[in-house]
Amino acid sequence: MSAAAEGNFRHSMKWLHTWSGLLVGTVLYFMFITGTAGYFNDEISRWMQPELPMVNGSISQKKLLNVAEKRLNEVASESSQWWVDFPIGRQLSLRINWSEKTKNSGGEEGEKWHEEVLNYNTGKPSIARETGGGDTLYYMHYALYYIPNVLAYWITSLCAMFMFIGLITGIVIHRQIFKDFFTFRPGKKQHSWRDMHNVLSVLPLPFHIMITYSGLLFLMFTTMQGVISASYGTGQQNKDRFYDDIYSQGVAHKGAAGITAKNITLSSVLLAVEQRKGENKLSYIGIENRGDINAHIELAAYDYDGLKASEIQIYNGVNGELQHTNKGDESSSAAMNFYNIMTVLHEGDFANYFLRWLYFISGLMGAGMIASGMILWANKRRERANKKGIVSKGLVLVERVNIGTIVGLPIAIAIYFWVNRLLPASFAGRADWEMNGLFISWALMLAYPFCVAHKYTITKIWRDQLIIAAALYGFLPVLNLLTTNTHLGNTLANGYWALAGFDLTMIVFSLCFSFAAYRLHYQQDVTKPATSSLQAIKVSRVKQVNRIIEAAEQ
Amino acid sequence: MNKQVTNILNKESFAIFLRAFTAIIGGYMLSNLLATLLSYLLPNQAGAGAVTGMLVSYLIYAVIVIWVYSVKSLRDIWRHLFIISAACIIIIYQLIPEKIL
Repeated sequence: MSAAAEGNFRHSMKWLHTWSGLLVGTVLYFMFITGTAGYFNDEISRWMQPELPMVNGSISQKKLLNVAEKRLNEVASESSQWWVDFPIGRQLSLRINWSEKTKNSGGEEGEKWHEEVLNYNTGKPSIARETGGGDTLYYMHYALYYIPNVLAYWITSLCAMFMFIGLITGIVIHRQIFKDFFTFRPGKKQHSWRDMHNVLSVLPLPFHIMITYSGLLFLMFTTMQGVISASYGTGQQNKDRFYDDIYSQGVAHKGAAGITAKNITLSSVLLAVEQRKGENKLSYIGIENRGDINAHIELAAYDYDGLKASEIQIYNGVNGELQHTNKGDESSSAAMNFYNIMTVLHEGDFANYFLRWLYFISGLMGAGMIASGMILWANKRRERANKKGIVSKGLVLVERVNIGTIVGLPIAIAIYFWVNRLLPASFAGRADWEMNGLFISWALMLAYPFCVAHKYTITKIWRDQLIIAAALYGFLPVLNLLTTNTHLGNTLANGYWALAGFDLTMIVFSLCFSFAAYRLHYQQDVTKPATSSLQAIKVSRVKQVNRIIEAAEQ
Repeated sequence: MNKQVTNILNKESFAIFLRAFTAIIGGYMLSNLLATLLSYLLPNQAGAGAVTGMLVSYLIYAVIVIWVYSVKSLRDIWRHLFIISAACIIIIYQLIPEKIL
């Protein structure tokens, strides 16, 4: 490639990078923020149900299983499936699930699932407030909200594709990716934002590429299903054939035979497992085809070997023999192996708390990369517009949407937590209203810059929203203190780190927003060019002084 | 704004739209065709070919989008898109499993 052609190529890539980023920046920012929150979905859910019992340290799983089996015998003696989740790792509650056979008006048989969180001491179910918790936040990053799932998959995949293109072109347009990486020029407005954008992009670049590509792969059975149809044919039935092919079926999951038989208890299997594996290691235990001769008991330890989850063991439900061990590496092909590794990396289930924070921070850096890119776009054009004296409508639009997106979304998520505490625990449909609260407040924050733009400068609107965000996050632990028992005084004193960590993180967020607002307070307003002669003289003098200092340093 | 400027603007924004359309829709179609072709050429034991095709399809898609934006003449792009797509379709038609048709 000649030098001129190379320059051209780089130029067109720069164009593609800028515009693809701008076009879907808001949706990508939303996906990154909510997806990042998802790395702490269990902790967020726990915080949002303060009524659940607080327990610290490990409790004998034998005792827990006794409690669970007793309760299941009371409420689900006829059920064909029982499942018990132990409080271990990030899962903080003793949960039981069971299925109930149902018949609808047409006589069709179905299954209804029930779940209870049990109090370890009393064995009674804990009644906790209804909430979307951290899981709804996490689902939104690919399933969005208010719209059908499949439509959402297409939208998020398209945006992820834009992101992928943005990353590739971003690498192309960087002549000196490593030199740029070590360059930071604080205090020089335009350069500072560019450097910030570069650092936030380059430092976690492997993470960005991994998370974007694997995110695309997650939805490939929907977005690239033409490739499946080309080998298997169209229609759900053929697609199911494909799924059967790629996911090797567990041999031990036999259906019910219809012959009743007496089953052994879950506790007796637990005893046998504990003798071999040690005590209190299980993540869950459950029984399928209960009461049938084909009953089997499934369990897995809470343990990760690198990326791989621990093996699943299946025992005969009548005589307690070990029937099958699923090592988890029985992928049907090398391609599926690769697919599994990418999706596991994306979800980070294997990550311990150190790695989990690394995931969290990388995710926030991804959001920061998008945000700084959006700001950079606006600032560059603002500078040019001020020189020319013509401001385009597009620039004004982006400047305002940027505020409502970059600060408005965090405000909306804070509102989600506020609504969780402020709505009465028994309020009907409260989980829905938590979410409505999020989206209503986000809409308000997006509208706010447009409503007050005739009165205030852009910098002032940025500052307003930053202050709102700082206040909402800063007072969240206070609100928590006023409305629940799970406040910092209690959680810190007793070492409930999952709960204390939430409040402490909110305080850190509040400090970050406060700092940003404080910095903006001393910054000259960008939308007003330094037109007054006095100001112009001042600026030129500062520049002169700077130049002298720079010269002296050299 | 006078009429001439508006005309140029519209022409320019139409060109931008056309290129984006070519990249997004044309790129999607061609990446599907190439991925399908790949899935036929690879051993398709237990769906492995189809999975590999899908894994690679996003990379192909990205390359096509970048190519669409790096070539100046849209007419050239379309000619190439048409020729490659036609070739893919012909080969795919030869290889397609009978039970699907």
